Amino acid sequence: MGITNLLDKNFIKVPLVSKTKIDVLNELVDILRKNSLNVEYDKIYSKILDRENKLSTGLERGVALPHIKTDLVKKLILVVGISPEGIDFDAQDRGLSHIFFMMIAPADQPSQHIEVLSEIAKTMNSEIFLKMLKSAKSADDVLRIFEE
Amino acid sequence: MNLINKILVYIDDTEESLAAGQYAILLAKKLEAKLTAIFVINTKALQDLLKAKIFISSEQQGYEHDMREDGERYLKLITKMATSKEVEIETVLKEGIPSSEVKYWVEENSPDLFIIGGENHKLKSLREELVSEKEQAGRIVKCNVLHVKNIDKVEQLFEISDII
Repeated sequence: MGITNLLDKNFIKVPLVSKTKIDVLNELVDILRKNSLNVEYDKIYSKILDRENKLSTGLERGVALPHIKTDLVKKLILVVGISPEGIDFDAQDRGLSHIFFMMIAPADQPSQHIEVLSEIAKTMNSEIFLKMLKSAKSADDVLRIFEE
Repeated sequence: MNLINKILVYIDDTEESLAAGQYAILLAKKLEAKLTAIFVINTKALQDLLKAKIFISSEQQGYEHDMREDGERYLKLITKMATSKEVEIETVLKEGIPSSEVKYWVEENSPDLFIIGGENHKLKSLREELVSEKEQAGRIVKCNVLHVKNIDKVEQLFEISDII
């Protein structure tokens, strides 16, 4: 299963309103809550925070990829958020993070998780693609950019 | 001479691939063809994720271990499914870039048909980097490829195959 199978308009938020790392993680997890997924949101949040405390998943070029694998979910969930203003996410290049891919993977499906993370990593090679994502105005825009 | 004597089926940790496995088993039985199931641990992706600092070292090691267990588990499962239909199956567990490993295996073993679980994409992306390894394998192998898409129907067929 690839990223194009996982993307869902209801799991994309544009724009993100948070200004800090802690808040944006909360805002991303809140998207799960709004979609009434039957999962333990607080536990997911604290696992994501634990992972971030080991090493920030704020990468280069404004992309952040918070991710965990856990028994708390039964299928792979991808949440996408765009922050036009950018958030200090302790990124590797010390720049602001604008594009957030939060991935929550079931513990028993590691191969799928790796494949999707790897696809996202590959998209980071395209500056034009990232620029388009950063300037997306709506969830529909994000879907359209992936389709092009 | 049969049109299809050797079948290769791609297995990963998705429902689609298990349906592909079921379809391959039924087809191998019907055609009395030799069946091989291949699972590739995507170690290249793991290395890339570590290099891009998306993974920390302990995550990479944990995932590598989990993916190996995953591969062994799914190949055992497909073997059990084949045995239940009295079909002999060979299993192959490889490491590397899945599409490349499949391509090499096909070049060395010349199967007549490669079966993969087809993906019903919500988005029809043209972006090459968003093509999954499984799809990429289907594109580059030099043999005929069959995409299994109707999972429910295949599961039903598999269940009732002893009856019909």
